Amino acid sequence: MKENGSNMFDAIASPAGLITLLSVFGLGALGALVVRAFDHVANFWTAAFAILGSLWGMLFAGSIFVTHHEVAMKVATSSFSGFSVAMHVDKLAAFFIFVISLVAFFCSIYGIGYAKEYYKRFSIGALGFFYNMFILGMLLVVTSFNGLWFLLAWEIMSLASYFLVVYDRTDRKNVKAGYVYLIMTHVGALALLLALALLYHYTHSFDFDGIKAHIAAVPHLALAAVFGLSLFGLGIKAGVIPLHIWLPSAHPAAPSHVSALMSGVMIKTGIYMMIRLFLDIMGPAPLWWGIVVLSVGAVSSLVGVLFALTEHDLKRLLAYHSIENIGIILLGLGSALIFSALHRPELVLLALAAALFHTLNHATFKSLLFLSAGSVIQATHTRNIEKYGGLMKLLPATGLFFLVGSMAISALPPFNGFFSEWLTFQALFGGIAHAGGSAQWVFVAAAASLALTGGLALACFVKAIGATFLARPRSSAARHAKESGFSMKTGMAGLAIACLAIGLAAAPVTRLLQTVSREVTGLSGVASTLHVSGSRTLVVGDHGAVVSGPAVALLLLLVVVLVWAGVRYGVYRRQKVMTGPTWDCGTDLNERMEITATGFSQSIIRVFKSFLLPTLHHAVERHEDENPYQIKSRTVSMQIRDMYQASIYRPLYRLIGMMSRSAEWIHHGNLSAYILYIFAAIIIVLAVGA
Amino acid sequence: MTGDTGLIQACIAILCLTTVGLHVARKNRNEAVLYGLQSLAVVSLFVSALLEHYATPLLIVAILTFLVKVVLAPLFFTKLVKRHGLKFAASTYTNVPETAAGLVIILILAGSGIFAPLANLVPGHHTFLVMAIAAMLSSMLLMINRKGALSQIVGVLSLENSIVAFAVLAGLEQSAILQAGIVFDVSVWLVIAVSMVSLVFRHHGSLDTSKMKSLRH
Amino acid sequence: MAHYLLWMIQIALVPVVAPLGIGIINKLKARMQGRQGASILQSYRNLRKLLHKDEVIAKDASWIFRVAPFIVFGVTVLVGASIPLFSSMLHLPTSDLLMVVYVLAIGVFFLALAGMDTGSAFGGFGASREVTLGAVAEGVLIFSVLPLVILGGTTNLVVLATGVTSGYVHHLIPILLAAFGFIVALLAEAKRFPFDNPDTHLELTMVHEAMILEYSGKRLALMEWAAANKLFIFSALAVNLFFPFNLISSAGLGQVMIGVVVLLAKMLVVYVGIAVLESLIAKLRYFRLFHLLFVALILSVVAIGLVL
Repeated sequence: MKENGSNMFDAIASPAGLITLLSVFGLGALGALVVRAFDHVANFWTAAFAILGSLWGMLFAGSIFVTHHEVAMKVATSSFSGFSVAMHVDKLAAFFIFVISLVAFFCSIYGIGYAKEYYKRFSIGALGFFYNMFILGMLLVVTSFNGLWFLLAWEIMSLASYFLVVYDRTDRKNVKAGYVYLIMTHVGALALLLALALLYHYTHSFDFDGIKAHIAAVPHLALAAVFGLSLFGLGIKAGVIPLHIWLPSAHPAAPSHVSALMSGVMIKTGIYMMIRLFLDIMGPAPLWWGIVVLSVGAVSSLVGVLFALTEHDLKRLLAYHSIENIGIILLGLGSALIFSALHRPELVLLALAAALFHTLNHATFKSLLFLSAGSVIQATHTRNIEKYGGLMKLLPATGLFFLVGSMAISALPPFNGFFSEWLTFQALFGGIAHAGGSAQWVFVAAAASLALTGGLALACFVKAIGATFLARPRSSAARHAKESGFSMKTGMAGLAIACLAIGLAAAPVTRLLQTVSREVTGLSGVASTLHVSGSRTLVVGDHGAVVSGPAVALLLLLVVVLVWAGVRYGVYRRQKVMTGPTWDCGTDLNERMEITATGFSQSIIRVFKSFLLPTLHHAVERHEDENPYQIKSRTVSMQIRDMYQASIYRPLYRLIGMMSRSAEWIHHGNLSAYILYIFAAIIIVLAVGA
Repeated sequence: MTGDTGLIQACIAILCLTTVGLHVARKNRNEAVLYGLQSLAVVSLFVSALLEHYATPLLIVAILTFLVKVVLAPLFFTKLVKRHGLKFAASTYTNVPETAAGLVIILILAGSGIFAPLANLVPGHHTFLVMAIAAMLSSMLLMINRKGALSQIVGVLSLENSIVAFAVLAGLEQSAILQAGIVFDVSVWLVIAVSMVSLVFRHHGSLDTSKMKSLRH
Repeated sequence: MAHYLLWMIQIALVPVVAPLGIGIINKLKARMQGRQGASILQSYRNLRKLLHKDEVIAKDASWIFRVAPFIVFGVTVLVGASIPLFSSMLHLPTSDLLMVVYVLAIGVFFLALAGMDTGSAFGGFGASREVTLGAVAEGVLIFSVLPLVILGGTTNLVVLATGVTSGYVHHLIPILLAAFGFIVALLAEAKRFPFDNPDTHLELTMVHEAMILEYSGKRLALMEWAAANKLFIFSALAVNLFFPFNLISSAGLGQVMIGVVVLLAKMLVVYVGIAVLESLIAKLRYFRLFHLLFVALILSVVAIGLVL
């Protein structure tokens, strides 16, 4: 029996398993197009294939871990030797396949109920096609092993997500968001192409293993250029500051289950490629790479959360939190790079495990938050937090799941977010203690940034939950909200349980992730600072820094239950508990008396005002003709200036506009001249190629 | 000067703590008292130099400095404050955390390579010289940061104290030029301070430099 | 058997003794104001009275309002049992610095949500001020213990506490600077002067009191008890992390008694200091509090620099 079992895993962890995985999604995409005339059928076809594909993906990834195989496939084309359809699934790729499948599974379940909103308005078949293509693209990205094939997969992923972002095309803002997203993602792809071309120039190969074998032939300057270009290109996808401007508009524009996928998984593909390039392919990284990545991470996390605090569009708020969490992942990755340059392999494993764990955790709780936000938005038809209120009584399940997601993202035990932040802190403390010279101070700054970020994230989610779910409804939309359907609740419930389960299983998960780190960095035989004792406790170092998922969950539960029981049964029992109106100082209590989300965040905005630069404008309209001293209306507008738009991107647009206008003379409309251009171009290409 | 390092350590500690205290002090009277303490520390440095190597000019300098800077100066300041009712000197250009950060940066700068030639004049006293340099820079920060003219004057005086302390620690106290300079400086001090401050106050009506509009063209 | 006794004392110490501490502070403040003041056992009588009273719960409140007091109180009991109090042998899986900070943050989270849940203006801005203060104070808290973490090589609080005395020889100044930073964070988290006035119910001066304004009866008793616990926890951390002379390492009854008595004596010093501070200075304006916190952060960074 056991042999059968291991045979089954062996059979799955093979090229056939990979092809099955990709074809399920491919079939789902094509089939959705075929049945697009029938909304219901298309919806179920999409969901069924996506669910099946995700289940198979999780099984496939699990088999890779169980059997320790590496699946490799390569189809070379004879015409152009650089391009080949090369796929390679090692433990890192398997981990990312698992994350993609886990999130896609629950999002697809959620999507069954959510897509009903789009019946009769937009083509469900198109939604299903692009949805499956999107997931397919992501899977291809993490399994590709040839540079050009990787770019092709990257393009599929970006195009599919573009169409999903502009899916609800009746809203002009969505179209603009898609436009910005398309341009930025192609700028990033161009940077990546340049980086790969540079590597090809010196190593004469686009295949990742070919590049890795000849990496020593690349001079330092070129390596630095490749690092800069790939950080730029992958950073755009991952959403680091200051390359993030597409993220807060594009993620909210897409349908909610797609936003969840984009925020939870797509930006992680950038992280995947960074790990693959910087740690695996480009060999031992110099110290300054790690310092750059660490600083970028620290800045992204702090700036992301500060901007999130100023947002009152629920989905934009969550999008900024994605930027913050990418910053935290980069903190772990940057530490790993620095430790590898300082020849401290035991700390490399700790830092990389922290980064990978946070990737998994962020995928789960961010998608949970986006799904619950989608549920709220579907019930109230607005994204503005200021119009919510009192939804906990009308949408109890959604409220509970949003609460779970918020506790996870604020790193509160016993959910999973705490354990990955704990590991990241340990990596940073290790850096402060063991790195030398200037690197120590970068670690101190990063630790300060992480400590502040944790508290600010908690503040932001107190605001989000408080303004959305608690107190009284602030608009009629909130008063008439209805709870979501069964499939949506199931999707959210699954992710909430996953958050708790991963938190309880933090120790085994970390042990698994350390195996992944060992494989990626090639440090197989090295003892790590981080080890797992029993199967429940994470231990860092030799002096007893210990946390345990199940233990803390158990203790918390025990204490709260004991306190409740003590009060209920130990204290004199005949007190009455009555409900009455909130104390209103004798006036009429209405919804204007609650704190608004704007008011809630004013304290923090004032504290950080030298950074956020809030502005306040008064516009007064007077009765001119009758009495100029009598005011008709007064408008107060408060704004946070988007400094990246103002100081980086607007000047860039102006520059590009200027350059384009000066090149306009070429478009003069003369046909003969155009033919001349074609001949000239052909002659030049032939001359250069010869 | 290699004398009793315990006394020297205490003097340097008091010098630095009073310099930081000048940044924190909100009332002019407190600034005067801190300045007096600082001058006392400088006089103690003279005393420890005297204990090691007695020289009469140095004794005269020490006594003179004690009389003028430790006794007369704070008294003069407090009388000035009472006469013109200038109790508070709290207005600054930067707020408290920024001032604290500035002081930390000054400390790092003083210990870094920029001032290394100065700090290495007497290798045994490296830490003390670094702290004296930090006190100098910190007094300059006080002058720049504060808006009240009285605080700026105290800043100049505290700068002068730090320079004297630096010179003593660097072993220059025996040079006649330095001693003459200190005596001259002390005697001029009184004259200038009295006339300047009264003049400024009578002319501009207050000692807040940001209100001295007529200095602009 | 002795081990169980030790654990019982460890778990019960914080909840049982904390109200006495509040009573001592109030008595001392009253004396300094020229009054007789209530007896130092008055907090216990208040708690007993509240536990037996009826409750009124706001109509607009959801289940979070009802559940929050149990969570907030339970969290302080758990943390109270995890920190080093009098023995270096007792530690729980939650005795980690970051675990303590974030478990207490669970309490802050639910407290702030409960404040917003009733839909009154007081609770709302109390919650806003609380989480803003808490965000920066959490950073200062972690950073002020960081020099000890670097010296001890671990984030386990019990191990840190036992190792600090060896660091006094070379690192006295950084430890003192870090202790100052920790005390500022203590005042911020426990909501004492100059951060919050625990005796007031005016909207300009409330932070903690604003959030629990709508509570009554036994839930109010739990919230007030939790606040007293929090003050005790932070004071115990301050004295035991930076000046740990009383951590015993055996289970003999005499040793335990001495350990507990020394702890209570140190706590008395802290409480007297807080009472004197509250009688001497005024509460700072809200936005000036962040200047104080940032100065504490800078001092902690200086301490880290001196330790490295």
